Amino acid sequence: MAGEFQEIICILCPVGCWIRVHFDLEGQILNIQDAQCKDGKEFARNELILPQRMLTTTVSIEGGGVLPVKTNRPVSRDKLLSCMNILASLSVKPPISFHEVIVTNIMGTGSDIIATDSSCF
Amino acid sequence: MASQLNGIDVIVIGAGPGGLAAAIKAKEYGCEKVLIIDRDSTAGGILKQCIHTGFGLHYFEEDLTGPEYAYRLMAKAHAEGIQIMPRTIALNILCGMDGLEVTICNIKGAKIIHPRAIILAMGCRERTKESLLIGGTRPSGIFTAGVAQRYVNIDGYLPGENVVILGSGDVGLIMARRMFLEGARVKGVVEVMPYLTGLPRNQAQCLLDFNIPLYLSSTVTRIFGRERITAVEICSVDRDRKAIRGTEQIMECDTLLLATGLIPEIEICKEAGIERDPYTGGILINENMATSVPGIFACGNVVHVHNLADQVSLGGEIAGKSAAMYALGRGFVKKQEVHVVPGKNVKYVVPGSISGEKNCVLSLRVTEPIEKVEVCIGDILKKRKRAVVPGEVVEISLAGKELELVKKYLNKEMPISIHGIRKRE
Repeated sequence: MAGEFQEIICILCPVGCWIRVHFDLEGQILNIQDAQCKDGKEFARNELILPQRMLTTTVSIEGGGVLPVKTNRPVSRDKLLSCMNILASLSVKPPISFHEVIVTNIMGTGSDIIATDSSCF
Repeated sequence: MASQLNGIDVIVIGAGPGGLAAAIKAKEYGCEKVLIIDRDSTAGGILKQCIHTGFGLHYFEEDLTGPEYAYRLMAKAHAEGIQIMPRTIALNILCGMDGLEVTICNIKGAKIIHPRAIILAMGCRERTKESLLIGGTRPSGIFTAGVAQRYVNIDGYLPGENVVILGSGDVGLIMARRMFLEGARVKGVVEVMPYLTGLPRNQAQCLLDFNIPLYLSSTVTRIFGRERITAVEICSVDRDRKAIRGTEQIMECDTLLLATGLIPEIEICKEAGIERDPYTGGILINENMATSVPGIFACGNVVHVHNLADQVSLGGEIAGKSAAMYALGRGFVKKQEVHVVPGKNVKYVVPGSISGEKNCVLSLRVTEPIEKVEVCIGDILKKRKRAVVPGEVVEISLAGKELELVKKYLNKEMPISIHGIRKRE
């Protein structure tokens, strides 16, 4: 097959398929091999255009301790550190309910930051 | 403490993904009074500090973080009227003339409980630096990866700023990413084996994503620093994992995280006479998650170290059902058993014994990476796989006519072996 291929590891589930993506000489995707599910195929397609990741981290709780949070959809991988910087400057005040929105549309990514646990006084 | 501790049908020790799922099932199968005790201040077990995703893909058919998975189980437990006592430990378990006895202890004091059945779901502990013979000084700044994870994700502390991680299992890889995202410089992950011991997806999303170096066939041979660690010496190792002189390099750091293995937390089993499985290091169980002591069941990492919380919860469900049946007097008549033992290339296989009378699933780990895999029961080929690695739990289901094959091994040892080609790096 002319052109090149690139191998990526799918991160969607613990199987972690090594997926091979074949390109033609113009960089158009010709074929995606070795993905065991269609989600993986889709992941491979997107991964080479714009890698995206879920961000999971914690934010400070006023009075002590930290609250676990996540993006509610994947964000561009190169925005992870700047999202972390924004969250580092925040402090939330309890009570916080499960899945409460902490930051809306962080860094214009279209993803919110939501609480993955609740926090009482 | 008084009246709520009388007439307990099932007591569950540990409120993690195993204990919670087990308690919920015990209730569903008809137990009225189910009590869970846990040493931590809230339920959820290790899930609370595992703030990353990857949980629940099987159990809830959703990709959840650890805390979300715990929240779902806790909500269900609460709805079922299961009592959870936090900050409470089990001091010992005895099987006396009057039945089972568990001594529990919390700030209100110690109390002896007489449950009809017990489910052990204590999970595991981490291998510490004391059991890894690393030369040099003993400064501060050395943590097991799980402890560091708790500091970061529960307490909100950053353990250090210049980190070396020993061990490429999932805990180590996840912490590499976590420390990096929190602003630390992660100098590298050092792994003694010639292959990654964690899941490939974690190599991608924890190391490759952030250009964190991976040093395979290497180990830490020396620690430097007086009050705080200042550097480690890394050395390549040969196929027998012996350090190769001349390959030493010094890596400056202020923090060393150890992710070198998990050990089932079975301390309480000794006095109770609950048998240990010599291959897993955990509690020996049969296909009903029953231990060697009638009325005592076990699930989760205290049996063997699982890869996924989902697998833990599924095992917990079996334990919960079995404990309920026992507590309600519908226990099992002792049947003849097949002793399932690890054969060639298999490190361990659970459960340790099966009856051959009902469908079951065997879970095993291999001793090293193998390709063109043939899983064999005795001499009979059961399953083919492209490749398996030690980091992956391989499941084999035995159903229907296959049980006839199993029954040939009643009162005997049935070896499970893996044939194939050793993977070349």
